[in-house]
Amino acid sequence: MKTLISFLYFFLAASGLHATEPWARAITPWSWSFPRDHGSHPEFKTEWWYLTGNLDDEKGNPYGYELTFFRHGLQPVATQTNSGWAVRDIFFGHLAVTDVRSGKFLFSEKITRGALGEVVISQKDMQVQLAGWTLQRKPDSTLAMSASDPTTGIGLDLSATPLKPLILQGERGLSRKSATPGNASHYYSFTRLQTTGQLEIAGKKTPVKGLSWFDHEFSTSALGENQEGWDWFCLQFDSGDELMLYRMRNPGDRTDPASSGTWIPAHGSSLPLKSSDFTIVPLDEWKTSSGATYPSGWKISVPSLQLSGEVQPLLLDQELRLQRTGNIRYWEGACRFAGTRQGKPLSGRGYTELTGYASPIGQGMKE
Amino acid sequence: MLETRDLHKSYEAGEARVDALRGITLKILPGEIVSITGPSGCGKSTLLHILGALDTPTSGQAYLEGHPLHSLSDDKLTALRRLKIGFVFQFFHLLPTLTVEENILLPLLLSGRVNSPARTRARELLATVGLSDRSHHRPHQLSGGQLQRAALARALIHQPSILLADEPTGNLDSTSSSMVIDLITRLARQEKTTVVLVTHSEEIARTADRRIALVDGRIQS
Amino acid sequence: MNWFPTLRVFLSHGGRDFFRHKTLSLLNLLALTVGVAAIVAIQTVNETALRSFRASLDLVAGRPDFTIEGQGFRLPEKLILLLRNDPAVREVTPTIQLVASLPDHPGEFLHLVGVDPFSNQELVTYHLEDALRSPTDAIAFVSESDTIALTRPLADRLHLRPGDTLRAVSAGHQANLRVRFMLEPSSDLLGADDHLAIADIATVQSSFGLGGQIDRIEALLRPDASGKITAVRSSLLERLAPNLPAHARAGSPERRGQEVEKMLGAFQLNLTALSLIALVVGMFLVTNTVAANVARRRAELGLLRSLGLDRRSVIILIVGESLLLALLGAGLGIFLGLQVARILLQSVSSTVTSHYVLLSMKDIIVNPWSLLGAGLAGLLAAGLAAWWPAREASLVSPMDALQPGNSADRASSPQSPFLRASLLCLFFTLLFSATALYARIPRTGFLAALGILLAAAFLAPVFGRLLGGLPSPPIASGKLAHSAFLRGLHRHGLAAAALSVAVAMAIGVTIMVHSFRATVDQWIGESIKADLFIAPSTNLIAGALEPLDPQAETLALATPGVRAVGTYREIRLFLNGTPAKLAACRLEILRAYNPLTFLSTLPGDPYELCQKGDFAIISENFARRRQIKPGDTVFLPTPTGTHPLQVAAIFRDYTSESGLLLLDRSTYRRLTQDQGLTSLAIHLEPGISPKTVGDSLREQLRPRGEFLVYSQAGLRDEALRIFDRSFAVTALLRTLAIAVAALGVTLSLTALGVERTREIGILRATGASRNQILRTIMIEAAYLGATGISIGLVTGFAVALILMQVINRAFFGWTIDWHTPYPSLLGIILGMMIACLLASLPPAWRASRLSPAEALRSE
Repeated sequence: MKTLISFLYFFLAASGLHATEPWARAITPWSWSFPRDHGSHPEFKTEWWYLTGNLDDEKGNPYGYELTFFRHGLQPVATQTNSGWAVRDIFFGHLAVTDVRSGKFLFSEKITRGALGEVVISQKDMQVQLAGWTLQRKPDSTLAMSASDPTTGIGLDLSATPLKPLILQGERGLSRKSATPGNASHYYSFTRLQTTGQLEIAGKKTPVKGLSWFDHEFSTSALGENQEGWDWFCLQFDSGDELMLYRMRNPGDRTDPASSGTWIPAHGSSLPLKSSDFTIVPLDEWKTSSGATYPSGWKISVPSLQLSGEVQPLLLDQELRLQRTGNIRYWEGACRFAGTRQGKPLSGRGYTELTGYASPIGQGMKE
Repeated sequence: MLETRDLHKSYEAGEARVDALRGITLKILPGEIVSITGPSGCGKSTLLHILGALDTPTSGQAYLEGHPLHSLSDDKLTALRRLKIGFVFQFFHLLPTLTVEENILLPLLLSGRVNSPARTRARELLATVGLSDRSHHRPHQLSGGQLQRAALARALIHQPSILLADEPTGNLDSTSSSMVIDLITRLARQEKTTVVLVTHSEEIARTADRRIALVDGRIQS
Repeated sequence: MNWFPTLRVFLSHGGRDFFRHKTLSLLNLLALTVGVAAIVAIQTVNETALRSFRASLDLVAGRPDFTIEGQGFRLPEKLILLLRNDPAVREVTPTIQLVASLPDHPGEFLHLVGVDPFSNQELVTYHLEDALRSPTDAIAFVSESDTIALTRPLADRLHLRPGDTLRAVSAGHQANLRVRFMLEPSSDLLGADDHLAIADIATVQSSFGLGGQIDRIEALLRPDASGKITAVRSSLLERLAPNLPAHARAGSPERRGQEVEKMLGAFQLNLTALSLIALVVGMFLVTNTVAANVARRRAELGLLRSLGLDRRSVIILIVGESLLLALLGAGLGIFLGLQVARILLQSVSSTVTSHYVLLSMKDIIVNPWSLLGAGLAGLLAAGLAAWWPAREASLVSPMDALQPGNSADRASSPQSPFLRASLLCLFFTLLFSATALYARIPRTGFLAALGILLAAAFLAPVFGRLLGGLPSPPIASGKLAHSAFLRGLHRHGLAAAALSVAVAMAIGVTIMVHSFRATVDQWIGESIKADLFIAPSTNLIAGALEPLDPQAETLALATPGVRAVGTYREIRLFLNGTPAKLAACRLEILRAYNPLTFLSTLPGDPYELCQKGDFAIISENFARRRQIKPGDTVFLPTPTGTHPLQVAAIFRDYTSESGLLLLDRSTYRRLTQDQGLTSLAIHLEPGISPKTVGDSLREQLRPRGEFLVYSQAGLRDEALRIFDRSFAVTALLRTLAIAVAALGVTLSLTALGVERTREIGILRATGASRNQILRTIMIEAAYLGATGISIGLVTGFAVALILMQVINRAFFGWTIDWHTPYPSLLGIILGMMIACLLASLPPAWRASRLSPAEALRSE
């Protein structure tokens, strides 16, 4: 049955506009209310909680991690009755760990129908349990996460404390992905979380600390009809500032005008960036063994901020190759930044996400 | 060459005991042609079978080129037959399924010595016994005289040191008989083969170098 | 010794000899062919049964490291949580399965399996193809509540196209299922049942009212540091044990296959033993032919010896010739056997299904190794059979062999060794009977049967001589035949032995089957008292134990003319590791309308005991096989725990090979929480026509699915039909053995005919007419037949006794009352005699046609 799931779409599905569409859509800004909106929004088709971070062990060796929880709604109400296995949503979990010193990148995935309590996601606060992996917001606002996979020998157990208040991305949290209204998501982030805990690699646990980035996003249809994927960057500078940029790619590698970003200064309020405010130029390429080509290394400039520099991956191969989900591939990796801001050197670390290069996005769901 | 000392052989036939040989002592020299004659039941076939390593004596000794025939195992006797002895029987005993040439080659086949010189020799022998044109016939297509000549060729194919013939003309008309006897003597001299010939025919016995007459299991002197 | 030249002689000479004596050689060949064919057919059918079962099991369950399944009853789905959170478990997935009838396709059914495609990815051994869309829209499989996947053969047979709906009924639930996916088993699952259908577990649960229930849990485990899972599995088992329901069986998945093999073991052993008899009979014939050949070729062997062929080579030559022939025979036998296997397949498939497990075999699965095995068995048999005459031939001195004269009719061999061997075999028969019954090694029962057959075989020459002691028939050909038979005993002894083995087996099996059938028939007459019976059709078609629509009982009770309704629930389970049947009845109905025949009881009324407390009634074979008597306790694992049940009585029953444990319905329902019913037995008011009520019930039930409504006579016929089908293969093998034995007669007489060519020539020359020769040989055949048949008849009774009192008791534990089927026995005796005479015709004819001159001519 491996092919059964092969076309189950992995995340951010593109769906045409249907009058009968039973799902809510992100058309106008959400009226946010926390902690309720940290929880689940089952009226939207797709939702995720996304954590990435750059950490160091006691000797200063750098590590990266990704822990993601996805919910994908199949139908607003399960059609099967009288069964604990009735399916409303499908849930995915992705876990990846980058060990730069040994050059290891390891990943693991979960896919489940969430039956019999296998998935529990609160609608009141950030309380996510997915097949043994958990993400919980503690009363002191710390995000506690835990996940492991004995088969690949990786795991993590981390607490991430926000150093800055959450920011709403785009227009009061409405983040457009294409020109079509409704092709957007509701999106907020914690851009700087002080993180401590331990990483497990090959069964060996290492105490680590560093910075994390958190996104929570929910939508029904985010990709435009022809969009092929996106390049997404989050950068945390030593200066205490952060930058988030994403470029939606139309056919011919053209940047969709709906691409955008956010500048979060160390102090003061965040600044939304339009696609015309920044440029992202690939510097090199990396070919996978399966023959796909990812860009690798970018020159990024945001003239309005007098910011420019290069983003370089800490490891070339940080591609997740997810068999159980049906050969879904994307690149999600730890990076470092070196450049200048207002003429002064600026450095930092961050995460880059590259989709649509090795496997199509939303196949089988584009109707 | 062939030597026996006080050879005795007895059989159990039902209740009775038959003493076929009662002390035969004889010596046959290499190349000699010897005939054994005597009335029916005198033991001449029994003697021949012992000399031919087909049977073993009840007591006494028999030596073929120094091999003690009286004390060898069946396997050793079989090996001697295969290498040193040629037989001609009264009833020819050719295998009906084999051609004349195959029958002639049979002794060599049994000892795994069929090769091209052997085939040449078979053809020469066939020519000598006058059956060149019959080499691919089956035994049932041949007359009695032809069968016996083929049997003679078979007996000599492996160049035995001794040829034993048991009433070789017993089933033949007189023309065929003399032809077969001529061949035996001629070939034996040519190949320097020792011949022991059992017969009840005076005429044939006279063609031999020496004649041994048996009566009641003893040599008549 | 030099092998090569021997081989050369053998090939150039033996081969030509074969063609010179075609008849003999062909008969020899045929004997072996039939023997090998019987083995191949049975092995292939057995193999197919197991492989098909395993393939179906693998298709449903994949190849997990660990399984939990409920025996008899389903499992609560919550059980999966125990595994989900266990560190040793890498993957865990549930399945639920049921057999649904298809009201729109009478006679067909679905073996529907509900799976979780999310958690079974690493376990599945099939592939689903979306027949409606490409690429596959897998979401429909899990999100649409009516989607199923069918195998292509079934879809084709039912003329279903993608998107069509299929009405399926199970236990009173009806569902319209939509055929959307095609189920493609992976290539190594050859022979999987094409009735298999796959749907999402939620679809199956919600369509058939099975919420909260599953049948099996499959898990993949994480190997320990040494890469092994055995230790992981046993420690997991230990952890789980306290939390598992009593009826759950957990452990390695091989266990299930092994259990099925064990269950089918007795059945298959039975068939294998019968097939070996055909080979044993064949062996006698080979010995006979080889001996005949050796005698005929005595002079020729003598010549080869005189020319220097040693003794071992003689043996090699003769055994080798026989082996070469056997090689041909084995090849033909394999071919023939596979054809026979195809014919047997359906019969075996239905038999296994009605007695053991759901099994559907479509075509034979050929295992090259078992073909090789059967071929080697044939070669071995031929080699062994040829060894003895070959050894004898090698001992003949060349000089004797070359003496002209009639070599065939030698002084008769002494009798005493045969008598001694016969007595020895008899002793072993008794010994093995004892070990089968008292040491509880059931398989030795077959050795006992073999022992008695061999005893008969060894007795054949002795008995032949006795027969020869009688005065000869007072005509010329009679006298000639009499003396010829006596002189030919060295040859006829073997043919008579083969004949007696075949006849003994035929008679033994006939008596046993007849007695068994008569016993069952009588029992049915006594124990089936109800006027009408209702059961879901799938239970008959597919051998399933699907529950009946619960409404059926209400409907039946409300039907005018119905006096009482008895209910029957049947479950197959394992008690102490051996299979058993658990049944529940309304005992008050049984007592009033259909009392059981008790063999022994506790003091008091067993019905009352069972209705009041935790008591059970057990069948006779259950008691025998488990050595249980009234008052003993049986432990019954159920979803509510393991319950001790005291045995109140033992009754006679023939419905279950594995033994039956019968409870009152109230006790059963209290202990198992299972409300299901497997069938109903309806008792009518006096004077009411069963046909009228039956038709009315059929009409009322029609919209609720597919049911079978039987009358009393109909059920009896059905029961006997199943019985007869179960013994169909036995009957076929019996026929094969008889055919081989008849061949033996022909063979023996043909061989003697060849040996006696000269003698016949002399007879003809001295004035015997052709008819006299013909008659002589036929009378000789009659002597031969009489010898074999007489011994066979007597031995047959002994074989029947062993089959009923030793093998049956050791394996099954039934009581079979002796019924002698006189007409059938007479039929076998006359039939065999006629077969002997017919078999003598070809050689007799040939002998009578010999021209005296030709016969007298020396070779």
